[in-house]
Amino acid sequence: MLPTIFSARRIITMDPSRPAATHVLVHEGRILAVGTPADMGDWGEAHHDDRFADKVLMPGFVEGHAHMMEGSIWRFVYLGHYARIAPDGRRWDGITSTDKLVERLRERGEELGDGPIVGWGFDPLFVPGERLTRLDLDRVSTDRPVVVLHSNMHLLTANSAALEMAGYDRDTDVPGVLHTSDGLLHGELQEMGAMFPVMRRAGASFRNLGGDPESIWNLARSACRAGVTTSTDLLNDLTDEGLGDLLETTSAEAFPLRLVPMLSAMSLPPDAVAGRAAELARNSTDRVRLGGVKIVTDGSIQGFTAQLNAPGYYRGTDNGIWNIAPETLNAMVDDLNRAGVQMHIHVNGDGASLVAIEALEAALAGHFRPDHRHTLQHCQMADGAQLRRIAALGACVNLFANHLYYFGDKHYEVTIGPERACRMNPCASALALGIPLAIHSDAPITPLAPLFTAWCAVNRLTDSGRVLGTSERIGLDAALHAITLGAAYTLKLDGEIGSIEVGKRADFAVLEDDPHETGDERLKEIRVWGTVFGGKPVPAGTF
Amino acid sequence: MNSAAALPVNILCGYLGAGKTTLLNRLLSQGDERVLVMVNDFGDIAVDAALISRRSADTIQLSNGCICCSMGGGLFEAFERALGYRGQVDRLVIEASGVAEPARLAAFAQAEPELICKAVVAVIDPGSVEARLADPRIGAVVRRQIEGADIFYLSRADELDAGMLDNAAQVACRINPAAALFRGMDEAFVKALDSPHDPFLTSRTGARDHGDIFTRRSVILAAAPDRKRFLRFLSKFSNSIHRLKGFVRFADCSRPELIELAGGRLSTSFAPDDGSTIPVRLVAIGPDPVVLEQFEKEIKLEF
Repeated sequence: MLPTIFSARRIITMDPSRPAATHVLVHEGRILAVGTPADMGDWGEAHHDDRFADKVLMPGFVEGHAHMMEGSIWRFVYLGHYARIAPDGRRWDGITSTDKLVERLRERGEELGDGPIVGWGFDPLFVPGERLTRLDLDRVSTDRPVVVLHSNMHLLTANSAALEMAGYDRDTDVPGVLHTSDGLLHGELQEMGAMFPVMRRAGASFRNLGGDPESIWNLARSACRAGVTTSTDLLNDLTDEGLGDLLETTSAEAFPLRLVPMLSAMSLPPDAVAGRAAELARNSTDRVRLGGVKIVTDGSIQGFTAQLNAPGYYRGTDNGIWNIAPETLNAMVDDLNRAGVQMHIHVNGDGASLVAIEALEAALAGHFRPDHRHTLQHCQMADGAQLRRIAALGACVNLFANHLYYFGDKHYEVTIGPERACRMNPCASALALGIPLAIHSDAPITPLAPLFTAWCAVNRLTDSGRVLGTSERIGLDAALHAITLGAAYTLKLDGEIGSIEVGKRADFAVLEDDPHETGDERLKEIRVWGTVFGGKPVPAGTF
Repeated sequence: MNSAAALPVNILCGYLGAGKTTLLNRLLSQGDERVLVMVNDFGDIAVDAALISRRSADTIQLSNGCICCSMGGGLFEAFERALGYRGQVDRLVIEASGVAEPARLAAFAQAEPELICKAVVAVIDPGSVEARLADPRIGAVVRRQIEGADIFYLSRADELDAGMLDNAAQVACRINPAAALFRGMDEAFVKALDSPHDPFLTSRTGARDHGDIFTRRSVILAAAPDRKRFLRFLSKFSNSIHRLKGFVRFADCSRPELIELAGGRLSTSFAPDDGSTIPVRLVAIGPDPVVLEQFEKEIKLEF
């Protein structure tokens, strides 16, 4: 095959040596030249592809923190407040009333014909009127189980048929099974324990939300729509079977996404993690990059399960959890650092980030490792002092910029209060200290869309229009860096992807609009045509 | 979903190094029950699973985690697998992770009709429990483990001095007065394991459902009361207090007694001598906070 020269309205390279270009020469998946037509050099005969002549090319976006569940959760019907686009391209309007919710579930029931009807993403705070009950869902069906998973995944509402299947009735006295004031079942079930009997009987168990081939393809579909050519799957047990599915599915010629799955450190005995990570690394392919490890420390801020330092939560009860004991974390971090395994450590609250910083300090003091790129994931509440320690460690942060928009009002009013909400996800402070920065969506927790994530970091606007701390805003170029080269750096892939440079992979995001023309406020409105993956154009919605 | 009888579940919780595995192994080596073990802690001792599986029917390992943060279905999957053994085993024992909150695990066994939640055990290392509780990072977790238990098991009782054991017992009983206390694995302990989990008295569990309706009060008294007078006092409240449970060592009585008030009925029974140095420890729950406040005030005045 001949080399291809793509022309574009503009190419934003993210390469500081040559920030802008109009042409890029691609051959066998790699970039051979970037610049003006004159810079295409003497590569012999080339095929000219001008389909992007009125479009803008950027390096393919890199989602540094997403989950395979983004591909699998869509087997259930979407019931969230925000309009959202499914991997198949279908746009789902936000649910604004109980009637709309019932209507959508009914439609879903008709599509399916028979069996359970399950929805996800529901947020009762956004639906006016009484809280959703089993009686509302009985309007969908009285004989088929109907289950509505709430957006936080810690609550569900079930109809009478589903509750009956689980053996729940008015006499059920189980924590999390709500009753109404007249003693009858309410329909809402709180926390995993109470949800379990209903979910397993309605075929909505979380165990089914793993990385089967269709989910892997779905993640690639969502990614392409957002201009993403490399995405993490930031917690994966990576069993031999799961790995087999990943390698086989991604090896399809047309599969257009590089996946970076991180081995869950909790899936194996601690002394087996480093060995397994090394073994996995040897299985890496062009499209599946293995070897990193994920460690989860605390819970979430909006769920009140994050570990907070004093003064703790602003309103509400502290239910802080540890998924790993601090001592165990110390030992594990030391062990993995010694073995040269890169770690991605989930830390939401500042109590958790402190414990992770201490563990990294001890590990690196015992065994210095240059360019380790251990990364604190989320790290939403780190203050100046913690950031300075992170900088001294040479560690990276991947901040949860999307939280500012989706949960920012709640953080301001309820969880952590105005002051800490206005400094959370401190992108500007991190950059000022020279800390390598990525920003993320945590899809499916929030939608996979790096340009939206960049918009969040640039504008720091909440859903209600409140600005959360102008001082932590970052500039457009810094935000674009964070969703390309910055995120690639946290994955140790910056030599290969993240910018449009000679020798790198020809992975591009193809945009209809130029971010520098649309400007800061309208960054999230930029239309994405699709991607170029390994030199091949992949229009969104075509696979 | 087969039709076998519901599978009894015990949960062993306790911080790292508290002695959960030792207790589990002793349990497994002595009974003739077929026990299915679920290990929720790779912790710092990877030998856990190996040690255990030699003696039990099977071992299920589950990774810890909460769906919102880890996106893992670990717990769901483990419970589904455990349910697959129903009919082939007599009991499921879950060795919780050192940072697990028993209430979250117990909720599965309470909710699932194919499981039946038996006693939740907090394993306590007498030498470190106070320091753990005072640790700002993990104090809250250790407290919730103690709060969520029906039974305390003080580990290493045979090698530690009595003062340390008494102190640890006091610390735990003050947090959760209604829990039964054991310093070793005797017959009474094994029997207590089979008692049902009491989510109503273990304070964290059910908080969401009952918390709005009921108030709770703990009462610790330093002097052994007169039996007759004490029971007469309690019966005054038998209709205004919803439930009461606790352990009392009466003056001139050699054995402690378990006192329970439920449904307006006061009952007493002899309890195993747990060696507790607190003569009266009990929990009262009721719908009227004023009544409970009055109860607490009066009992302290009277005894």
